Amino acid sequence: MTTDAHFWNQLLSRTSITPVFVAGIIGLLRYRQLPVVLRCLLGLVGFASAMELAGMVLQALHRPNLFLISLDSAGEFWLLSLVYAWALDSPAFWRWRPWLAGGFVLYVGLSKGLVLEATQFSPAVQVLECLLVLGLVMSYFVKLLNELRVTHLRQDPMFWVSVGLLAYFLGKLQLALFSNYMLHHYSAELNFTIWNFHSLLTFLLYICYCRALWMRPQK
Amino acid sequence: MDAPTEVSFGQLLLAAIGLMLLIGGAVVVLLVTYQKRLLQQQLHLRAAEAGHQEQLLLAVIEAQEVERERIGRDLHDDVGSTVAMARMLVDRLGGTIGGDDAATLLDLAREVLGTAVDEIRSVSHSLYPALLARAGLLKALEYLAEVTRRSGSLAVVLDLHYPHPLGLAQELALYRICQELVHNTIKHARGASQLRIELHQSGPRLSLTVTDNGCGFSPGPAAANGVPAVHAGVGLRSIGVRVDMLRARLEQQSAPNQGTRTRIELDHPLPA
Repeated sequence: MTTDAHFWNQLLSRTSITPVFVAGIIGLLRYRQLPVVLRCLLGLVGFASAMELAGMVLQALHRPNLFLISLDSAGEFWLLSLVYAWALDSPAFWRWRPWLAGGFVLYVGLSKGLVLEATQFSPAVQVLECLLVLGLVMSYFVKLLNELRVTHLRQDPMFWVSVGLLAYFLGKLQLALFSNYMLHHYSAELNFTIWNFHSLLTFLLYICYCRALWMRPQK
Repeated sequence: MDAPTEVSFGQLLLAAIGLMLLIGGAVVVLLVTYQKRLLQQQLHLRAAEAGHQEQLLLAVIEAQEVERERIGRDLHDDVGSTVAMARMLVDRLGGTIGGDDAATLLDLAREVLGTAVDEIRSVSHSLYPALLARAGLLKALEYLAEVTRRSGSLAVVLDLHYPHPLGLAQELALYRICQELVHNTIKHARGASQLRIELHQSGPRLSLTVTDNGCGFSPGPAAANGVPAVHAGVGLRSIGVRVDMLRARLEQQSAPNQGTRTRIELDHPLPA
């Protein structure tokens, strides 16, 4: 059983980065046709690729790479807030976004610098990020219902981005809530199972990103 | 044998994640379904609005045609025949040199030409009430009442309280509505001897009420805002168009042998 979980973990951890790079390549190929909102998403994909590479390098050098999770959360939320600022197109959100994203980055910096060591990560940061991103996603869904500008949701790139983020962050919220418990009651099998699940969610998220970046812009 | 705590926890965690994903899926399905339903409702609404707009446009075009026909008939029957008579008199005057006949013919020609001038004024006024632009709605309504009194057997009573004038376009629309209602009374309200025109500002609302004591009618179904339905006559539909334009409400009460009372009420807040 442990061998199976380990096998799948190895397989998924090596392949889960593939859709990240595929999304990046698709985005670069279609860069000129992409609207601003998807260019920001491409920036996010680039940032995630850099984080994945840094994680892999640190892992290869047998260095702790857990601190990257907080850094990843800060950058991810900053860029996602930018993506949704364009998507929501709300003057109020444009006004509040620097405070919201800046406040979150500041919180990540403080919790990282004052409380935690480089070998730990803060579940509070993860949980807060999940809740904030889910809030952005729900705001976009409300906007879709209020404005009714999009006649076919499946042809809206931001719909796919939001669906991917909804699934990913709903799953990640549970993982984040119990992450410290899992770390303290470490077991290879449970750890592999959980990270396999996380890799599947990442896979799903980046497939949605790929779909959004691949779509032709609607007039 | 009991399962180890960790295995139970793992299963519980995966079940919680699965549940969250199910909730997420339900949210997306709900969003897609609800959005489709809202879109369909909006499409129906737009189609209904487009239909209504088309009906209004047709009513406006039809009203224009009827108005042109009426003006043409007025010019032909009244002004045309009067001027023709004046020409005939002038021709006869040309053949008569001196004498009492010439003086009589000249007086007659003057009188006929005076009538022609009055008729042209009347047509011109019905085309565009210059008095309205010059002196406002009150004076235009007073003139309309005076003309109505002179042209028929109706006793016209005016009751006007209009301290804060509307814009010219709105005054013109209100005047046209009143003109059409008066015209309807003259044309359709058999046996009417009295016509009452009221223009009242009461609080933030302005109302125009036209009441007659004629034969009345059985009211048909009305559309939104009390505006006459599509199958109503051109005159009533043109009133409907103007009521819509003013964003006003129209209320009509009538019954056989009970007369007719038409009230148009619009928001007209008093200046602070």
